[in-house]
Amino acid sequence: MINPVWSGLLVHLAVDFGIVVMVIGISLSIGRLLRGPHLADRALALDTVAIHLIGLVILFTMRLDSLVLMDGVLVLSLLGFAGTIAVAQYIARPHVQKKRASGQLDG
Amino acid sequence: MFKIILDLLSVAALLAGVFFMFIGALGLWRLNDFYNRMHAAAKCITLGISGMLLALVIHISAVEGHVSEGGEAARGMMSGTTVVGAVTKALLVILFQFVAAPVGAHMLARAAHLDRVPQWEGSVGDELEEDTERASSATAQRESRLPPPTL
Repeated sequence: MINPVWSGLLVHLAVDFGIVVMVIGISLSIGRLLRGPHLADRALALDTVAIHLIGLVILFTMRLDSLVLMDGVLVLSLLGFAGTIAVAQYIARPHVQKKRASGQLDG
Repeated sequence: MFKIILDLLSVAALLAGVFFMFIGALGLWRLNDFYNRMHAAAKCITLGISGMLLALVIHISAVEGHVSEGGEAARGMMSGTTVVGAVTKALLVILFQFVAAPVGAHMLARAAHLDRVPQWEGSVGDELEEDTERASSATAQRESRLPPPTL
């Protein structure tokens, strides 16, 4: 997909550089996933991994010039968000139940 | 000529987006407090992914004629694989990220604060702590029945 104009080559190089940086970002997030002392750190790391994966799919779309990968972008963003919300509710559930039982509703 | 300008614009947006995504991941690894990491992750990567999606929108509207739209099987059945469909999906993802990232960050930070995730010792204050009057003695009696915080 390298067209003879030099700007196409520049796009190709930028996409390659972007793929490398995205992979470094994913490995940093996985490092935080392994290291985070609390469950909320791990939920944050997984959300970050999901968004970096969206970035990787975007870079592959630019590289392969195939538009069928755009559905993956939508699905990844929705699933990443839903997972973060689920873990946040799981962390907060006993405290919310205690507050409801003791009468001070926390909204 | 026009294509060169669009390619340069796309590369500029892509490099800006990739830079902010990397800063977000680096902050997630290096910062020493959960709440600080939430700052880095939620804000930087939302901006970064918007930049990268903008680069994608510019690129696929510039590369006409070379874009594969799913082949003959998709023609007429999936209009989501046309250029207009892909641009719509990209803009929808940007809109969704701008709505969902603050909501998710707020929920996660509040859940972590309820679960008594400790702050860094150099932190200046804790306004949510003052607001929830958890330090009052009336709730301290009931807190003896609280299960231990999750891992």
